[in-house]
Amino acid sequence: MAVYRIGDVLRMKREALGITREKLCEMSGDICSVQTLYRMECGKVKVKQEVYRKLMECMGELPERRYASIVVSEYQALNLKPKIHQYLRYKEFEQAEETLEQLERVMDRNYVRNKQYLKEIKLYISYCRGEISAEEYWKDLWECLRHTIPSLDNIDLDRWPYNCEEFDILADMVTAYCDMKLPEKELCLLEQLKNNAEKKYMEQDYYITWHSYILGELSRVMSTTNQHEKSIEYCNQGIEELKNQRLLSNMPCLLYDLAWNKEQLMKKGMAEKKEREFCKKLLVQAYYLNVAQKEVYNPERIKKLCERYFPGEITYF
Amino acid sequence: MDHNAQYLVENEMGLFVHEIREAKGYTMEEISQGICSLATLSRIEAGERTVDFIMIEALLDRMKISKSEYEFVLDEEDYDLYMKREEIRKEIYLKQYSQAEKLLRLYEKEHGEKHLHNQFVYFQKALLEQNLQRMERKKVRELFQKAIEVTAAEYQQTIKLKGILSDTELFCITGLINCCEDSKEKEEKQEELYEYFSGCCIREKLFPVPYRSAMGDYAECLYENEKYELCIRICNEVLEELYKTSKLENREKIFKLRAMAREKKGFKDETEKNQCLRDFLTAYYVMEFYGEEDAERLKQHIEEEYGWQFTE
Repeated sequence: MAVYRIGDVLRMKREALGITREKLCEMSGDICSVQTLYRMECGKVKVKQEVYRKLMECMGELPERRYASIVVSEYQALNLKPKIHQYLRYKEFEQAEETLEQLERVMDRNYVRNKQYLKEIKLYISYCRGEISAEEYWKDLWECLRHTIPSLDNIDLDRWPYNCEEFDILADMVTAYCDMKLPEKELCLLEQLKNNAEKKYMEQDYYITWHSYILGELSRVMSTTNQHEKSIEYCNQGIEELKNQRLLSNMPCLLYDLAWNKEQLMKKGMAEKKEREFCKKLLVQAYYLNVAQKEVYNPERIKKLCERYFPGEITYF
Repeated sequence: MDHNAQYLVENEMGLFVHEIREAKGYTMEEISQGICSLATLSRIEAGERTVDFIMIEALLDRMKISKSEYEFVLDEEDYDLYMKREEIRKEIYLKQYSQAEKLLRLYEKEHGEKHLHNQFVYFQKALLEQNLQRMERKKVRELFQKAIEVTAAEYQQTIKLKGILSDTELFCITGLINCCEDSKEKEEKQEELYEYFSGCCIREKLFPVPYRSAMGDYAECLYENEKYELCIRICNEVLEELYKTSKLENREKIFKLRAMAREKKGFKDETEKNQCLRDFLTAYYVMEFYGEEDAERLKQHIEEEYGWQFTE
């Protein structure tokens, strides 16, 4: 969810565009003074609605961006979206497409956020089915993001206050970079996203979920480039954050990655042997925390790793 | 992650309430009851009156619109108050009761006398006391009753559940039922609540959070009253809902309950026994990982009853 402080929205947008307060006031035809803008950004003064609208408009905010991705009259669609995501989680593409068709029938397809949403899901499905290449996927995602951020090419990705749908697209872009085998670009994007998230302008649970996802991805990139210590650090941070908030999310992945990296260090003689028992425990935990989420992640992956390192030592149900 | 966003500022929110109400076909009387007067609601909807966010929350809650589906841009004051409430809810969810109590006392001192804030305070207090178990049940019940009466003055436990109830009101009802001393009476009331949910919630996926919590309690009560078959069925339904969220909530409790009910029912074959063991192990690992006190006892049970050897 997102409940934002009005001052943060103004400040972050302005900073992401790299414009000064002076410039913004000028662009708005001096709808308010620089001093007032400063005070509004810090929350020291109430923001008038017309002032807010004008300033957002000057910063390229589409008027439609203020409204729901599904407009109120299409509220039935609210129930369809979670359904689609559920199908996608378990890679049940046919059902997802069927529900998507239902959704298209009830929502206004000309409305920019709807367009963006539908495009993102369709791209995701055709990419998973191997109908488009990673390069094409990346390019289309970028275009898709531009639907709601027209100034996309000129903004500082670190600072832009994204909404949840935009985050989903950015996460897809990380996957595309990964499959394109461009680790530098992938790392760069992930670090930008991490910096962005750490400005904490989103609701806390969402922040933790999104942040731990980024940490998990960073850990994956690090482990493929043999930087196991760094990878372990990211995993530990993610695990700690999720645990403190009683969240599951990508916990099984983080536990798995942690175990895998520790094993690599042990193999190189860079970690003590007593860590072995600890790794075994991590994998068992990963397995059952995954069961607690109806096995969102492929349990076979965990089992395989166990068989490799602890043959015959662990029984699963 | 599924979110539908909307930027709303100040009285633009009134328009939003109006559109939702029309779209969902609620009357003004239905949603304003106990929250504000009809005259106030029509001024809010017309955008002639600025509203506190807590009132918007209450109105949306009545219409079963989860605020998590939208984005709101709030001014400083509303935002700070909202964050204070969120923090208290969070601390209780994380079982940090003394911290929650401290924050709640501060909130009460500053805002407790205004009516919707008052409901929030009573409700959170009741939740706290229910968890801390240091107060007589009767007193806890009074707190829940006071909370629900803020917006549903006519609510009495004897009245059949009907009409539209907000999440907060449903949570209060769950709390009140939990205070029942008599297990048979408790079960009957929970069944009634289950039927209320089945009538409107499961079908439209309308109130997952109170549903998951209340039905977890129902399953527990069924177990105590030795209705294992039904208990398992309810657990299955709750788990299906829980799989949709990444929050832990009462998940470990449901896995444990399902296992216990399966165990009591007896196993027809090896597969059933293994299913039960899998539930127990899942409950155990979740509990142990998130630092629940009961984990050790569960471990012992698994070792003794199933001869399970924890190798790690």
